Amino acid sequence: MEKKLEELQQEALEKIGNTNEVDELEKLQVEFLGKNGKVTGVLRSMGNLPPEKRPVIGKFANKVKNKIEKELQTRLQELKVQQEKARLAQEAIDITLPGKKISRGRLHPMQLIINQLEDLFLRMGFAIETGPDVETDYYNFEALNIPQNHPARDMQDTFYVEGDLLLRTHTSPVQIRTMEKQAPPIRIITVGKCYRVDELDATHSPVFHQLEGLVIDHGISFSHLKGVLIAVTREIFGEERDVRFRPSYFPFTEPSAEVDVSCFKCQGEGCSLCSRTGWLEILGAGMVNPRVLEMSGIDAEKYTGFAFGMGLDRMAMYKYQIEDIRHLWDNDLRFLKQF
Amino acid sequence: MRVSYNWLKEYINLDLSPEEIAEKLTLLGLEVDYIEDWSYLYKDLLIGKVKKIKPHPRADKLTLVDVEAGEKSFRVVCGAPNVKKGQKVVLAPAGTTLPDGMELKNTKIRGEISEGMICSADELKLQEERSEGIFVLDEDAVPGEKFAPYFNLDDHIFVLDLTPNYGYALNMLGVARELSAAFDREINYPHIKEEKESGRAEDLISVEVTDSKLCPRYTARIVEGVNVDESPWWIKIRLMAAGIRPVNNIADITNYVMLEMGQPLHAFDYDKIQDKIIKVRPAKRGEKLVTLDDRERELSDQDLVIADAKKPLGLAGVMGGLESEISSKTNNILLEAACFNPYNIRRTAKKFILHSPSSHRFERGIDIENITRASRRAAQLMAEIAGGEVIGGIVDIYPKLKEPVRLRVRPQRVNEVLGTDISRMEMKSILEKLHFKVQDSKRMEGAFRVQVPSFRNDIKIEADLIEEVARIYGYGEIRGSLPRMDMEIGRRKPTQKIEEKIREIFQRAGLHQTINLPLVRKDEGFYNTEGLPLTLTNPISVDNSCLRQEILPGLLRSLEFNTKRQEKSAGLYELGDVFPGNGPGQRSRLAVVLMGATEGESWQADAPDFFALKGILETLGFEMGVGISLERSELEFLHPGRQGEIFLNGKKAGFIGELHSGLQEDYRFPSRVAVMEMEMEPLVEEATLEPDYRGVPRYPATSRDLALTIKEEIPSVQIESLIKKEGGPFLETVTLFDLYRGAQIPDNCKSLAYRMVFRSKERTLTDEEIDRTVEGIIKKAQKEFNADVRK
Repeated sequence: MEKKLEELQQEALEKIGNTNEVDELEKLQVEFLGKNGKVTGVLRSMGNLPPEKRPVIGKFANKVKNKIEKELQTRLQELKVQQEKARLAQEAIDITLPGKKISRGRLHPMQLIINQLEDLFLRMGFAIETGPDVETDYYNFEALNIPQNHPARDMQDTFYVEGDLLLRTHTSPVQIRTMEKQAPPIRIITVGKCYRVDELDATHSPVFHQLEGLVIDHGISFSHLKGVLIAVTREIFGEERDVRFRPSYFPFTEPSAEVDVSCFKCQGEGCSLCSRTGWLEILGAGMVNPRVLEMSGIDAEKYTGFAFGMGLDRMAMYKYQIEDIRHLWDNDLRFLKQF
Repeated sequence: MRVSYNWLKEYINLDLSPEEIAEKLTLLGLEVDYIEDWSYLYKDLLIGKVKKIKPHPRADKLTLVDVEAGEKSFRVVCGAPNVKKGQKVVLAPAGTTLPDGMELKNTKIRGEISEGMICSADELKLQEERSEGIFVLDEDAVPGEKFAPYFNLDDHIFVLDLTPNYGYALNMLGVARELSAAFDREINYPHIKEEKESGRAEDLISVEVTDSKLCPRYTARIVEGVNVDESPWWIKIRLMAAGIRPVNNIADITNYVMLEMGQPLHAFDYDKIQDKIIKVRPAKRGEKLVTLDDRERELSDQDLVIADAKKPLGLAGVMGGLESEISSKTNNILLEAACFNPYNIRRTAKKFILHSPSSHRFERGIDIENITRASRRAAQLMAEIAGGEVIGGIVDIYPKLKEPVRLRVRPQRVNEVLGTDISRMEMKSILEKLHFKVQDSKRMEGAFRVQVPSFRNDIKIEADLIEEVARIYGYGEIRGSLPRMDMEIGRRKPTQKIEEKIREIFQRAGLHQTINLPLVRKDEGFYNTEGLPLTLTNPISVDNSCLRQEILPGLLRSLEFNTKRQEKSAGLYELGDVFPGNGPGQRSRLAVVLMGATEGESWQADAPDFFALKGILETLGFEMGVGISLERSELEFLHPGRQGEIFLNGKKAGFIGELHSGLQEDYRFPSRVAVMEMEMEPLVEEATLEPDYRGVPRYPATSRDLALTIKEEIPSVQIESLIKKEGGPFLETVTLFDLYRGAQIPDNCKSLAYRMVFRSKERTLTDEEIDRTVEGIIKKAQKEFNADVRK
């Protein structure tokens, strides 16, 4: 009987070793260890043995049974691992195929510039003011020290609206409106559309965006104006930029300055973008003219202040090297999707 | 203002390159726009001498000319009738470039090689009209040498873009003065002979000024026996460098002196002056004058004229009259040098759109104390160049002498305003270099009392002098620093935060931000009820003549722009201002257009764009904590069955719908377009941007699906509110997930399927109680809407 069991074990192990299918293994389990399996059959015939032999054979039979069972399980594991491996191999993909697109809208480049500047000024403690596009002569000119028939009015070709109104030519009226309603210290910026008589072409537009700033307090100086504007310029255009201040003229500031930044295209060498000067004009600024302070009811002996204004369209064109100003107004998706 | 560097060197020589001068001028505030390099334009031209002329063998009108230029000789085919042996001419050898940019090559003309070209005056850009023959030089020209230095064309022109405060720098001496202050160098003033200012002049002319406010000073001088002719080239070239066309020697000299000294001058033909009297008076209403540009002007009593006994001779300070113009027959000159009121000049020049170099200078203010000097300078040049005789004396009407402006300057204040530490002595020295007279103030210790020179009309207050100090000290020398201010938190206003949030939501929804011109056509707009638009009195075009009252038309134009460029789908929005016509106050509005939205797989398939847009609107509402509802509307430009009014928490805000098929066709949109526009105000009022946290549920939810078949005309929202009403306290959400028509559904009916989610905060709900609730809903739906339950 022992011999028989040994033979069965031999047979079973051989068959298990040769099996490559999980189904086959299940069949082998039934064949050898099932209710009517071969090993079970041998065990069942143990009743025919003399009682003293039974424990020995019984023990041996169990050993055989366990052995087969163990081999079956081991083989099963092996096969499962193999199968999984094969399946995964089959699932390999071409990872160079494009990924799934996320559809997301874009912000207008003008908005990007506005956001960047607003964030910067908010960090410096500025508040954001607003003012109307349709203005009176007083706020747009008179209160800014630009009287009727002053040649400075030629600097800004104005659209007039029926009924003694005009479209603001700059955001500077917001300075006046702020000074009228708020006592110093004042620290504000304002962003908005401005209008000047110009045909829309590659370099001109009748409408443009301006950011204006105003700071008024005790002891504000030209040095502070420089400090703030250098910080702003470097934030927008990069730390490596040179910034240049030169005298200019605005009736509402004195001293006045024009601020240039070294050309990004040629790094100051001189190219077509900067008209071979190496510099790009980006903003106008100055110390608030004492007359303007007085007109708005602020004591010009006690307080000083600075103001600045920058054309955001030009800023965006410089920053992103946009070649035609009309792109900012066409809303061409091929343009908008690049920002 | 165009400044010739060669001319400038006559007054101040700095031995600096044109680029260095340009940079200094710019840093002084006299911005150099660009430099015109004439030396480059004329670099290739040589002086030649005509050695030999032979007829061209195959052309009657052409000759073969041998031109000698130094060692070399050139054979040139020439067509000019005036070429003669021995002439000194300007030669452009082959392989070089002419001033107008044309490249010359070795060419064969009728079989004969031409090795260059003999230039005419217009080819040299010395005159505008075509000249008949070649340009012939004087005897002293040396063959073989370069033409440019000989003719003073080896020049650089600084093209200045001067702001209105630099009136005093609109002349060569003014620019030289700035450089002299910056580099601390002396100026060589032009030599003007002293003359006795008395003589016969007063017998020859009398002058009347009716209003000294309009004409604070008027002088007249007489030059007799001039020979009116072309100016010598040195004058013509300087005028051309300045951008002024040479006319004749008399007119040219008046312009020359204006460019040199800044004083506009006018020369009248003395013999045409009726009764030998000059009246400076306002024009009579309806009076007419033909100006030098040959146009008749109708004058008003606001225009100041220079008149004789009978009629106006010229528009004071703006432009002379044609009749009293200098002509070749003119013998005697009345030379006017005056000062006119800037504002009055400006008004007249603007009214007639007559912006002249003279009005430009008067508008910015001239040096009233320099008038007689300038007049003398011009008269002397006329004598010298046009052979006239200056009559002694000058008629000078200057009733109220101009008081010099005196200002107090506090050095401490200068440093406070600039944030600098400039010494008192340095300030004094800077101001003195700029010709200010500086003394110690007697009234205030430490302060200066500064007298402003008469040419500086722009200096009126202390701040102006602070700028002068800063300009010469150098803006670049002032150190930048950050102001020390009280701590303050910069923040956006609620409106600005909401706008920012909208942009963020729309960006996630795949909409692109646009910005459209607020200037539009008069009749643009779909539904406006706010009166006629605000209209510009001076628009650039009909298409941009009014302020917009709606956002949508511009947005549709942008969509059209893109569909014309083959875009099949697009989602665009604009958040911008509109301007009501019948009242003050611009307001913000939000508009969206959506075309070709992806077809959803659910019930939305039959109107993808409408529901896609509605979905975006609902998302906006959800994110802002605002309830969105729609009510049917009847706007004509929208699809009659696919439109509605938008309500935000019950407040009317705008509309949403599909564009009417007719309009869709007009715009040639390839597919349906969903649009919406709404006011920002109700949104700003209702929005809450803070999240509304309600805890995490501790008990599981149970869901039930319910499909109801109802009549087509019953809106879904009614079923939804019925479910909400009957769903009891545990109903958490109701969502429509299917809309079905077709097999098994009767005609004129639809099946709506809702998923309901129930949950309690305190316990796990039992199936039985939920089933009971659903039963209740069904019963109510059957009763109210005759609904059938679809299994």
